[in-house]
Amino acid sequence: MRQGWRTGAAWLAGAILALGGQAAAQQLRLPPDLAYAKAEGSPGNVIFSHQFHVPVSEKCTACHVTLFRMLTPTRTVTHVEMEAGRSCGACHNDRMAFGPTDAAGCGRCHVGEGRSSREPGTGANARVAASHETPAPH
Amino acid sequence: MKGAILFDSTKCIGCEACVAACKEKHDLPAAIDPKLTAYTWTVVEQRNKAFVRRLCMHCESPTCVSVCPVEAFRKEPSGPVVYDASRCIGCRYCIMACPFDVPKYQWDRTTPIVQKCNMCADRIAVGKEPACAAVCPTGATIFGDRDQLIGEARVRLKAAPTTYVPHIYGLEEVGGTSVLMLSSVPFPSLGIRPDLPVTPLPTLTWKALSKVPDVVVVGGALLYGIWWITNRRIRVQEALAQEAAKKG
Ligand code: SF4
Ligand code: SF4
Ligand code: SF4
Repeated sequence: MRQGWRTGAAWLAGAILALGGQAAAQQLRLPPDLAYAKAEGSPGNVIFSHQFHVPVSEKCTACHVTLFRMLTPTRTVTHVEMEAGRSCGACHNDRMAFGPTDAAGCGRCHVGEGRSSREPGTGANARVAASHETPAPH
Repeated sequence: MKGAILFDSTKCIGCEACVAACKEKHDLPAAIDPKLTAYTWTVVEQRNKAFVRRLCMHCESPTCVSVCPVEAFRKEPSGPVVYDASRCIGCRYCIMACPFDVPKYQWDRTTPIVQKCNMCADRIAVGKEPACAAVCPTGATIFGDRDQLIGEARVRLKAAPTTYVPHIYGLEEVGGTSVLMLSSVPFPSLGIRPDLPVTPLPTLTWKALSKVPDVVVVGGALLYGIWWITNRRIRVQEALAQEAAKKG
């Protein structure tokens, strides 16, 4: 319940902060965009952007480590999971954030190959690349 | 190299990525306790508009190591102070002796062990930085050689004397620690003890106590104690073996 509340509050804060926070997020050392492998029948790869989502919450714990692991983010996301309120579905459920029935269609998440070409790639390598295990820049 | 962590409170945004990474690394329950517990080895507290991390300070001369009668605690040359549950007899001297109130006991378990941050010693051993340092998005928590980090801390203090209070916490406290801290507000207002001596604490504790003759521990009490300790060690070992088997 507490998690639900937190995520909800985080989303509200995010809706307000999304633009202003974007600039602040730029200075953070965040993992590169995460390209999820395309499952059979999927309309296109889903590319997750930390840059875009970080302004939604002040705390990384809104998603980590209850919804997503950070050191070994090898998981895939399925719509079945999402419907059960797990992974992306904890927020992207048509209530807190747009969900699978969004009028704009699947393309809001499934941005597909066109965009993934600018990303670190697809499949296993991309997921490793998106780990928080980036070499320390210090 | 002697590994150390430099925590710079002025850079910390309280995002708790460090807490989450610690949870994942050590397979701890995801729920974050507000204070250090056996299941939450690091927390980020907000005090006087600043954020401060709590974790084991990895003392250079650790009191926990010196009071432990069975050497379950050990200071590694690479920096971390580590704990070996299979040696522990559950006496909890470490918990009482730590000046930073760090080691915590699994009070809710039938075969409890002591738990605390171990600086991710296994990661350090393979050349990785601790999980918390690996994920910190601001550089508030960084890992490196202790001497180099002290140098880095001095550079920061010199470059921004108006930002920082002119002190590297852990440089000398209790004989030095392998977690160093910088802050813009006085350390006591972060809830960090200002009253610790710069000399190591251990000299007063177990090694001195152990010289006291055992006459106070007599007969049945002693035998019972030995039984309890032996029995507990067996049960802890069983529990550890079971957990290991579960993990495969
Ligand atoms: S902070 Fe406490 S537990 Fe950590 S090394 Fe020092 S005495 Fe031991
Ligand atoms: S060094 Fe490792 S064990 Fe200690 S707080 Fe960081 S992640 Fe946790
Ligand atoms: S990850 Fe870094 S910035 Fe975030 S709370 Fe921990 S120390 Fe502070």
